[in-house]
This record gives sequence, structure tokens and C-alpha cells, in this order.
Amino acid sequence: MKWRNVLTQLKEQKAALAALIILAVFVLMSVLAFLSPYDPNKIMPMDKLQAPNASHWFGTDDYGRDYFARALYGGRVSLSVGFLSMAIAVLVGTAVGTVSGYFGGWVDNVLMRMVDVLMSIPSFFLIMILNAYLKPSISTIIIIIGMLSWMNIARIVRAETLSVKEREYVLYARVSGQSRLNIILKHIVPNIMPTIIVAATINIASAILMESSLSFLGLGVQQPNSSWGSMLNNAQGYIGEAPYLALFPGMFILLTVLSFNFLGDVFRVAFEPRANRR
Amino acid sequence: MQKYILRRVLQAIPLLWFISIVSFALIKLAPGDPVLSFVTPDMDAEAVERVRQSLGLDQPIYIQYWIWLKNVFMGNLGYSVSNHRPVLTLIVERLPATIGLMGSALLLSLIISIPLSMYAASRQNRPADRVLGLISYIGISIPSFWFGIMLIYLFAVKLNWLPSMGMRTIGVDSIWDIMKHGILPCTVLAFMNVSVYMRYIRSHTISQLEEDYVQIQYAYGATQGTVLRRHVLKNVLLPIITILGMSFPELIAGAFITESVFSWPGMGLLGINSVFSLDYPVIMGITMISSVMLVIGNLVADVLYGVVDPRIKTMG
Amino acid sequence: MKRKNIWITGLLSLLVLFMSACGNSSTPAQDPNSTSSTTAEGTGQPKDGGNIIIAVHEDPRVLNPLYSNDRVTLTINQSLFAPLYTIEDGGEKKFVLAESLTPSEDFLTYTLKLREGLTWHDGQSLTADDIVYTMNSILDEKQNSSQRGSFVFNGKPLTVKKVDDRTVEFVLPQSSASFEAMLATLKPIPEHVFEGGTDLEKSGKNSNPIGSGPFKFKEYRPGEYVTLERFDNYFGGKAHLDSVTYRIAKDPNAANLALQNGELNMRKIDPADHNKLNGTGKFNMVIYPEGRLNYMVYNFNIDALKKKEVRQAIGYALDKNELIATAYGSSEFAEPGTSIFTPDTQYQSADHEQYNYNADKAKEMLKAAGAENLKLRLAYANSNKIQEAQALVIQQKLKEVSIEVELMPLDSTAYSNMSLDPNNTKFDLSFNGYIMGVEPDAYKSLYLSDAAYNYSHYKNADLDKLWDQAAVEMDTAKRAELYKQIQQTIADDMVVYPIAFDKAIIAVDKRYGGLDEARPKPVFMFEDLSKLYLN
Repeated sequence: MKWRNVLTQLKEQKAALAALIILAVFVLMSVLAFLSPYDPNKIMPMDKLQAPNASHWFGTDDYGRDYFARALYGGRVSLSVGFLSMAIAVLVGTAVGTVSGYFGGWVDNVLMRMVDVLMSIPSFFLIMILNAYLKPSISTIIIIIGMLSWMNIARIVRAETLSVKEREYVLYARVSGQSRLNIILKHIVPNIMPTIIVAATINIASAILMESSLSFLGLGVQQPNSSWGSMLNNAQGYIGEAPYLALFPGMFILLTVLSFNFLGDVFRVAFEPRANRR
Repeated sequence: MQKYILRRVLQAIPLLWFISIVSFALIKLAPGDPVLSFVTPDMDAEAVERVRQSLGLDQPIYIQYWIWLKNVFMGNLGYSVSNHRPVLTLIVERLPATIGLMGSALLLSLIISIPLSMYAASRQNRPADRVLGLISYIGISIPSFWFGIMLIYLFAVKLNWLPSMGMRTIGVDSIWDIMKHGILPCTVLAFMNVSVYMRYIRSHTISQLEEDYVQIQYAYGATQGTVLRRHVLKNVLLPIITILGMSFPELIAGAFITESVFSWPGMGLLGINSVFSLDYPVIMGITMISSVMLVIGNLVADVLYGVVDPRIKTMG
Repeated sequence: MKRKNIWITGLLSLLVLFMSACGNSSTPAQDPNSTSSTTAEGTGQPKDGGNIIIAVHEDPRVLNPLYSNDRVTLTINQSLFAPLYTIEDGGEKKFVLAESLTPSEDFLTYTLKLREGLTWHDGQSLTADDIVYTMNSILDEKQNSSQRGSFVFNGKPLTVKKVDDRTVEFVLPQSSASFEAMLATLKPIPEHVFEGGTDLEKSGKNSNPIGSGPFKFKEYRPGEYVTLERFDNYFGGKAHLDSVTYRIAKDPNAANLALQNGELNMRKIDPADHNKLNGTGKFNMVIYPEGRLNYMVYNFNIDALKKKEVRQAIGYALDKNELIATAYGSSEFAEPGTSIFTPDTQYQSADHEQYNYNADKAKEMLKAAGAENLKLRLAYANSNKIQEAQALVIQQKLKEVSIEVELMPLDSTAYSNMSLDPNNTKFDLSFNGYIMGVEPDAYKSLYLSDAAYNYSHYKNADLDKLWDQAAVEMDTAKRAELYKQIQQTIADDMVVYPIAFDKAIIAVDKRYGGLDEARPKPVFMFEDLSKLYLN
């Protein structure tokens, strides 16, 4: 692992450092959301649609709920959906990719055709459909997004596995009679880890975008819970009189996704010096 | 060459068959008894049974699939549950709006991204390159629906320059009017695309600039502009075909959201509405058609690539 | 799409029962039109020419009155197809296509006489044959018309017979007080157009509908708009406007923007948007009671809710005024619901327990019933802004009496399917609403033990008997007493918690006049768009 390269990259690229700081702040804020004096779900009809002020930093929404508190708790949902569905996607993608690449033959054929099919159906539409079928809840969204976004990872991992499996230490392990599972877990996965990390980082970004789009359309996170995307669903109606309602959550999503995409590239450059600086 | 094309086409057939199974499974996975969508609570058990039979829902599942597949081949995708019109008609009458929007977004993206990214490549790591790089980062990171809302806020609400929704002003039937309505949604779709293309084309241009032939041109005293236009452009166009194929899924997904934000009367909006009203026949129809579009898009890109780059013949 | 304006989620098909008469005579202290609409009236004499663009929230289903039971289709069909007659406040008939309707002495035979010289939009004459054809098509089970139930009495359909070109006879299997009201919902379709077709609902003729109303069909662009143009031979006089366009504006936010930009001229708006739009000074706001009840349903299939005291305690724990203030933004747009009958309904009474807010009492009752720390699931349609607001308030309010409420936002279709399932145990509390018209008998389709729309799944054989008695009681005083008893029983048993009688708010561009003459009506906004004109 070339973590030292990552550090060098971060030092060189101020933007990447900024991305890391932004993410750290967002994660910290959503972890410490409970420190907010406001209950994010407490309805105060008398206080509705207040512009940002000293007591309500981000103003209040159409039910008079503190918008800052809702953004904090919403960040919790958005970020955890991003992380957890990425975890699922990485798990499935790595499993399918390594098995496919290592075993080859008909196993490879069947798995890759499956990937082809899944990639031929517009996944956003498929996710929408499944979300509408199942009881909408945060865990449903995580599972659906995770289960439908592993295909890219599987393809990349398979390609890497194909090249790694011909290396001497893998051949040696095979000859010395280690089990296939063992070889995959102990020799192949650690060697393709950099690729997985890069793919995972990009995957979080797209999972967060996916969740926000779903919630924006009203198919994702449901009341009284909030995510940055679902906050935008409510905000669109007040764009004329209260544009700040749309501004804050949108900026948060943009900054988060931007930061993950940045980091993904930093990792790529750091792990594969050949691809440097393009 | 023909052999290669034939093989790619043959490979697409099982893919389409699998897609049909997934589409069919969608209605089977649906919660509740699908027949309930077709009956009113006033109907007695006998009437409900009659509806069930007429839909073929009393048959074993593989027969249902077979009947459905036969119908699909004959162009019969069933009837919409909510307005009882044929699904194929519903989709076909909306396709022009979607294809028009996607097509112009695609065209616009190419027109913008090719010169910009070649310029960025020639200014590698200089301020102009960095600014363009940041913009393309934003383009791939911005939630498209939010970008759409912001554009509406600025151009429709604040400035009142452009219409906020729909495809036509009622009573006005001119191309210019449709274009005016299309500017904002097209911008949203294109921004995302331009950003993806720029990163791709830029890196290709950079590697081309390192090639010997470029150095030779410089040695002959050619300016950078001439080299880019006369020589590099030609070699960069090739990979663009691949990204066109790759950007199809993005474009289709983007169309669903963008059409919804701008009430653009295309297939995406129809799809989203059908999901909300659980109109299964329409959901299945759109899944099928958009997947077929994707497969064909990839196929065309592959074949074109093969035509342009003869090396494929031996490799493929 | 996101917040489509389904006020009547789950009850769409009930709209069929909705009678064109939804008077406001008995509405307390509320002029049918807001004052603002009348002030702008005097500015101009009716002029001819011009167009209007009206927002509708979705595509029409089938432009055929036999199958219209959703708001949009009903609205468009209202201009395309003329009825035989309508029923006015106080039960009087106002004849449209018909000239008279005479019942026999035993109220088993009704003779309908058509006006002279009626024509369809295509120039063919409209005759008794068309009426017979329409009624027979409705009665034909294979055609699956949603109106069939209205003309079948105890399992027996009525029969219809042509007497001469302008006279039709309806023979009922038994006398029915509601027949005249049901016939008012009938809108004839042309026999010469549909003749020979097998499936009227899927018929291609529906894509170019021929009607008899003040406007005829011109163009339909799916997902975009439906345009109707003036029908010059309309027997009721030519319309002022040249054309009416119904623009499909799915997204309420986009629609409100378009309204302000002048891309739309008329729209039924949410209470939450009233102030914002009114503030622009560009609109007349027509506010009128829709004759609609918005209520919360207790699911009697759930053990915890089988105890009457628990249901009552929940009633005491809720504050109707707070619910209205949050959901509607102001008491101007809804009156507190006092009964299962809307104020325009005959024999409506509020002479029963109103369950005014009393949290202490609620707590005591829950304690006495041994139902402390209840957990309940409250379902609502996720696209319905008002239901969402109500759900949030109820969750908060019930928390104060230690009832934990889990919100269950559901897609409106799934919601309606679950609500209609007689064995539903997927949620405990839910919302619904209905527009049932002036005839109290119509309401029994919601409260009889085996009624299809008995969302509470409440069974009470004694109450069923009362409904049946009231339906045939001819003495008004006795009938009033029976309906009072019915309302009392349902209030005492707390079958539903009436929240509000809500009002419709229509924003109309100030340039349009004739709003009073066009007559605001529930469901389809205005009864007769031919009276509107552009100043």
C-alpha cells in the first residue's frame, strides 16, 4: 500500500486537503448533531419559514422546524446511506469480481453476463421501481442502492484479478495447495486493495447522489426524517420566497460529492504513479 | 469486419432476452395482487375472477411469461392501468421529446467539450486548465435536479427570461418556442456530459501531445493550434465514440430526473409517473424500451469503433 | 408528481356518487365566492374571444364520461359533455340537455324529454337513441363502467326504452329516492360514433371524443395539454372564449411558477400557496366549500383500537384547531369537522360529543382502559401535503399522552389498495376524505358494515338498520331524527375522527371575468366555462 503517496499527494494538492477537511467537518457535524438545542422534528407552525437569523442559523422550514438541526440530522442520513451502500457494493462487487476473474470459464461467463444485463437496465429507474415496491425506509434505500451499484466495481476488480492471479506468489500459493477461498482472501484481495479503495470512494459519491435524487423525487427518505435530498423536495415549493431552503442542502450535497470525487482521484494518482498528473 | 459486427449483434440477443426476464419479473415482484389494479371494490368475486382470466393471471408463471413475450414481439406491451391506452403508443408518442432533448444535449456536449478539453490539455496544469478541471469536477458532482432548480430560480423566477416548464407555449407552434423551452433542461443534461467528456478527452489529448508525430510537427515549425486541429483532433475523435456509448446510461438516467424537474413531456416523465401510480404495464414497457435503447447504443458505439479502428478485427 | 393534488386519495371512484348539486346554502357564514372575485367583476362587459389555460395535475384517463372518476377527467369532460340536467341547491333540477323528467305516481317509471334540435359536436343530432345507448352501455357488465352501480338496485338494473326521438323511459325495479340525483351524473355519449365497437373503454374513438358540451375537442398532446375549442351550435349559447386548454402540470411548484409567469391562467391551489400567490395581486382567489370531509380513520381490525375508550381518548388528545392551522395554514381554508356529514348535506347535525381538546382527560381514559404506552402506525399518502402536515401534528400531539406514533408515508396507489382491503392490519390510523353530495343516503357506502368503502371496518348491525330505515322514510321530521341518531352513534363510537370540512381555492388570472356566472363547483372547479370571458 502506498499510503505515503497519498500523504504526498494531499500535501501537494491543496484542493484535496480541503476536500478531506470538508468531509471531516461534515462527518463530525452529523455525529455531534445531538448537541443542537433544537429537535429536528419539532413542529412549530407559528415559526414557519423564518429567514436565517441568530437563533435559527439556517432559518426554519414550512413546518417551523429548525433547518440547521434538520440539515445536521439529514447529513447523518445522507452520509450513512453513502457509506453503507458503498460497503454493500464493494462487498458484492469484490466477491463477484474476484471469483469471476480467478475461476474464469463458465463461472466467469455467467457472472459477467449477469453484470451486462444489470448494466443494460437504467439502474436509476430500477432503483426507483424497487423503492416504490418496498416499504420506504432508510435501510431499504441502502440495500437497494448497494445491490444495484456494484457492477462497475466487479468489472474493475475482475480485470485486476486477471492480472494478479498470474503473479508468482499466487501461483506458488496454488501449488502449495491452499484453498481457493484462502488464495482470494489472502493473496488477491490485498493486492488489488488500491483499486478497490479508489472505486469505493467514487462509489460513495454516486450513492449519495442517487439517494438525494430519490429523496428529492419523494421516493427515498420519508417524513419526519430528513436527508439533504428530501429537504430539497420540500424546498422547491418555496424557491421564490425562501431560496435559502434550497440553497443549503444543495450546497452540502455538492460539497460532499465533490470532495469524495476529489479524494478518489487523489487515491488513484497516489496508488498508480503511472497515471500521474493527467 | 462483418464477422465482428455479426458477433456483436449475436451477443446482444441473449442480453435482450435476459432483460425481458427482468422486466417480466418486475410485475411479478410487485406487492399485492396485480389484479387489484384492474378492479373496483364494487366488483364481486366472479367479476374479479373474470378480469384475472382475461389478464392470463390464472396461468402458471412460465406460460404467463411466454404469452407476454409473444405479445411484446408483436408490439403489444399491454395497456396502461391508469388510462387504458396501449403502452407502446404512450411511449412512442413521448419518444420524440426525449430523443430530441437527449440528442441536442449530446450534440451540445460534444461541441463544447472537444475544443475546451483540447485547450485545457494544451495548457496543462496552468491556471486555465485548473479552472476548467474544477468546473468539470463540479459538473460530475452536482445533483442535476438541484442544478435545474437553481437555473429555474435564476432564469425563470428572477430574470423571467425563459419558461420554467413544459415544451411548448400553448397556441404557439414554432421550433424556436420548443428550443426556448429546451434551453434549461438541455443545459442541465449537457453540463454533466461535458464534464465527463472533458476529463476523458483531455487525458487523451495529453497523451497524443507526447507522441512522436506531434514533436515532428513542432520541429517543422507548426504552431500548437495547427497541430491540435490538423493532427491531434483526428486521433482524439476515436475514443470519443467509446465515451458516447458509455454516456448513454448516464444520459437516460439524467433524462428521468431532468424531465421531471422541467415537466418535459418525454419518456422519463412518463416513467416516473408510472412508478408513482404503480402502473405496472407502463413500468415494464419503459424498462424494456430504455434497456433496448441502451443495448443498441452500446452496440452501435462498438461497431463504429470497429469500423474506425481496424485493429479491433484481430483483437475482438 | 411529488405532491400531486390528490385530495381524495383512495376515494377517487366515489366521486361518481358525487352529485352536481353541492349547494352552499347551508354553509355557515361563507359566501360561495370570496369577496375578491366579485370586486373585479364589474370591470368589463362579457367580451368574445381569447383563450384560457387551466392547470390540471395529470393526464386525463379516458375522455369518455362512462369511465371518468378522477378529478382531471371529470374536469375536462365537464366542458366536453353536457349532462341531462343538474341538481341545484335545495334539490331543484336545472335542465340542460333534457327539458323535463316526470316520475310516475309509484316512482317506478321516469319519463325524460329531450330538448329540440340538439346536436353533437360533429353535427349529428342527439336523440333518444343516444340516451338509450349510453344507459345500456353503462349497464353492460362487459363495459366495466364505473357508473354501473348507480343504476343497479338491489342487484337489479333499471331498464331503459325509447318512446320517440325525444322521449326516453326509465323503469326502476324498486323506488329509489336517489335516482334523480344519480341520473344527473349521466353524460350521454354518441351512439353513431361508438356503434359496433366492443370495448368502449379501450376504443380508439376516445382519442377524438365527440360530446355535446359548450366546447369541442381539438387536440391532445399527452403529457402536455388538452385543447378544446368553442362549439358554435351549443344549445345554451355560444361560449365567450375561443378555446380552453387544460395544461398538464404535474409538479405543483412548477405550476405555481408558471401561474405567476402567465403561462397558466387558472389553477386549484393548496392552502399553503394562497398567501404567496395572493400577494402578487395578479389573481382572483375563488374560495368555496367543496362539500368535502377530511377525516382520520380508526382501523377496527387492530386490537388496541377495538376499545371505544381508546379511540375516544385519541380524539380528546388531538386539537382540531391546531391540526387545521398547521395543515391549512389558516382557518380561512377549512372549517373544523363536526360530523360525518358535510354542512351542505341534508339533515347534517352537530348535536353530539365533539371531543374538544383535553389532554388530561385523554390520559385518564387511556389509563382506565389499561392502554398506556401504546404504539400506533399512522398511514398517509406521501404525495399529499395536507395529510403529511396532519400526520406530523398528530405524532407530536399523541406523544404528549404517551402514545408513540410511527409514520407510514405510502404511495397513493398502495395506500388506497391497503385501505380497501377489509382485513387490513398494516396500519392503525389513516386519513381519508370524501365528497358525497347533499343526499345523506349516499354516505352509507362508507359506514354500512359490509360497505366497500368502510375504511374503519366498523361493524354495527343496529346502525345498518338505521341507515336502511332512513333511506325509505318519507316523513322529513322522522328522517331528520334517524340521521341525527346515525351521526350520534358514529360520533359516540368514534368510528372516524372528523378533522375538517375543507374548501377549494382556485386562483384565476384577474383578466378573466364571469367567475360568478361560471359557478364554482367542487371537483371540476367551474360548472360552465362558457360563461368565462377575457377582459
